[in-house]
Amino acid sequence: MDIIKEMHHDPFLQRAIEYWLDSANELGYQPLFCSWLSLNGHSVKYSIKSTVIEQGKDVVSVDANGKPYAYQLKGGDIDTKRWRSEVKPEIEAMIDLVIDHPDIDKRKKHVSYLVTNGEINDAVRLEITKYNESKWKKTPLKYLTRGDLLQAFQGMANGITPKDAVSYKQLMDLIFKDGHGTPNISSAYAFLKEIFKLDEPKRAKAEVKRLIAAGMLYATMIAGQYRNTGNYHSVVQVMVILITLIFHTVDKYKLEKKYWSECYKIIWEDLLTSAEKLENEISEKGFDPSQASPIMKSVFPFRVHATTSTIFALKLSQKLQGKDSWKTILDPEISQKYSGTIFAWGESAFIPVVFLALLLEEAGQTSSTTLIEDSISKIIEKNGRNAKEIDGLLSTYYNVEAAVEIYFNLALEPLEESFKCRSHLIKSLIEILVRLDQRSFLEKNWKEISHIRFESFTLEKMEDFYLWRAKRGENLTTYPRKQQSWAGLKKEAEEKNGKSLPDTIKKYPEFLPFFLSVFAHRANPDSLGYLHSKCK
Amino acid sequence: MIPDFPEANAQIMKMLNRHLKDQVRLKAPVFHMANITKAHEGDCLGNIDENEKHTVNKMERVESKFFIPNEEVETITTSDILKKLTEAAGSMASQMEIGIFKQMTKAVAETGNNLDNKPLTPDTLLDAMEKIPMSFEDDDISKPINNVLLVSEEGMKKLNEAESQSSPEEIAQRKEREQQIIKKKHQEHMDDLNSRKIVD
Repeated sequence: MDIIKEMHHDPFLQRAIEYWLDSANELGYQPLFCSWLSLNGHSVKYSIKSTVIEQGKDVVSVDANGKPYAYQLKGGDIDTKRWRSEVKPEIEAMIDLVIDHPDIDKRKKHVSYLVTNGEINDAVRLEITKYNESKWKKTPLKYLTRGDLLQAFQGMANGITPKDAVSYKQLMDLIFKDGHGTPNISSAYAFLKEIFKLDEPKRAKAEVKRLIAAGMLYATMIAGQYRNTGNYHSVVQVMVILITLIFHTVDKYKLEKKYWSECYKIIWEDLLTSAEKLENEISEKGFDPSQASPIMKSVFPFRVHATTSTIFALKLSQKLQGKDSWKTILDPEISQKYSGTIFAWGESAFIPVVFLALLLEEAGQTSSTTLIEDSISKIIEKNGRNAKEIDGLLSTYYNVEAAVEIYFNLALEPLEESFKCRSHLIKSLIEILVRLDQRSFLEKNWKEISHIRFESFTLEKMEDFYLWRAKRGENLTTYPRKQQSWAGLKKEAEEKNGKSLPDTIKKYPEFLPFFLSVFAHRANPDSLGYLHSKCK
Repeated sequence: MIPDFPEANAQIMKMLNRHLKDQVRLKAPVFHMANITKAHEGDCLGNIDENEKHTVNKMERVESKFFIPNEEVETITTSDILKKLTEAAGSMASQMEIGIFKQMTKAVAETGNNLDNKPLTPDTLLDAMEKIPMSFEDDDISKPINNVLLVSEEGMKKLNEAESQSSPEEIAQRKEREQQIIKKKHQEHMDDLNSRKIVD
């Protein structure tokens, strides 16, 4: 495998990659390693996502000629003691046991690699050489160490680097952010969008693979600190941004799958794994208020909410993938853990509620309509004509990070917007109820609902759906009819089947819940209507 | 070059921007009475009214020049700068007020809610009250949400003069008429509320 390719040597980028690689463990660099294999023409067959390895193999791939490869990934230096007690037995299993995978010809001998982001000391190298000359002669062990990985990963960015010092600073700010917090979505999106060069009208298709690889490199570095602290919610958010940009690139340039789907699979698996780890953490430990310092008690509900929103997106995604694992949310013991974790800090807060409602509806539970009705009631209470507070609920353009800043008076700019008598989400919620034939609630509340203007955004181009903020488009205010025909409502609600959504996100609907948990302002009657139709 | 203090400069700029915004708010009171909505993206504003009429307006830029000529650079003081900023704010504010009055004039023309150039007196005020909708807090007749009267200083002076020159009977009659109007408006309010429903 040709690791060292011609590359533009960027010492600044090299230092940044070194910083990230030296602080990562094997699970931290594994997705990027798999992407690098894909970039080198390999098809990654499986990638173990935990510390339990299968038959000594963490990653298995097949090259363009059908030759199979097995890799065991390690973190840190390998000295003689570690080699003998931990690594060698696993290497022997990797070498001796055939790769058991339907796509791999068992008759073909696989090439075995030991990979580490540290160093292998001389004594261990000597021992490997001895074994390669003797018992491993037929299938000698190869290895990749820190220097090899650095060159490989730097090669992924080959020529695709931040355009100037300001962009480098932006990258550094993102990489060095406190791993306990959440990413600055707008900044991470802006940086990665620059890398994807989406403003250029044309794009050579073969170059796209490199762009995606470079995007993967930078996104992995940005997510590094969050991975190190086990902050999987934030890892998911970074991967959502990356996938969004990939889909945008695919739809804008009409790319065939061969240029991007391998890499997408790897990133998607990484996102899912991170979300599942978050779910497992909550399943085991629940939300323990003692995790929060007594001084920061008021922030805890926001932290809990952010976690729940990622997990509910995961459950809906699992449902859309046809996996039974979504049903764990129906288990009374599990669902009890999430009781009271969502509170109305803004309209974006209702999006995980919608996800839960769609899941409960699928399970035939009437509490699904109660969830939607309660959400509408809350919007009426906070944003309606009789609302006591001046400002009302923050619109879907404000995420939980912004809500925390506003709530604790930390925002750089004071909030000058009023949300009274307007809502970005209420129309979507109304149409869910209409599709569920819940007329009586709407009849009872139409007096108040009809005083709330329906706010929406009409995109100029379909693929602008993926943009964090679109330069062009119409901010539309719709005054509800005082007398609203039920038949008219039904017709409108039934028509919401994703016709305004770009092609790729419809081909991968399982990504949409995660997308909407980050890009909440894209939750509209059509996108939520599409999700609703996919759940049936 | 000699060192600067960029972080302090940034804080000072923030304060100056704050001053500019506060001045604009002060000098454009009508504009700021309207509910402020922020356009987070896009380049135009659209409206679909209750009759499904769709109108689209491009967003208009409000800007003003803030300029310090070379010859003033040496002698200009902080209060001079604040004065210039206040002037710039005034210019921006007047553009915003003109804009909103243009929209209001258009709306008045479309709805026919005008007083046919009658002079401003307590009676014509009551005529105006009869033409426009009124809301009630908690739908309670005793809690009308009063509309805002915009009148010039001169107009206000004349209004107060007319009121002070009114006889007690005239004042009582106007009071009675006001109560009748509120009662009528409350009925209209309740009728409007009760008309809002899901049909068929």
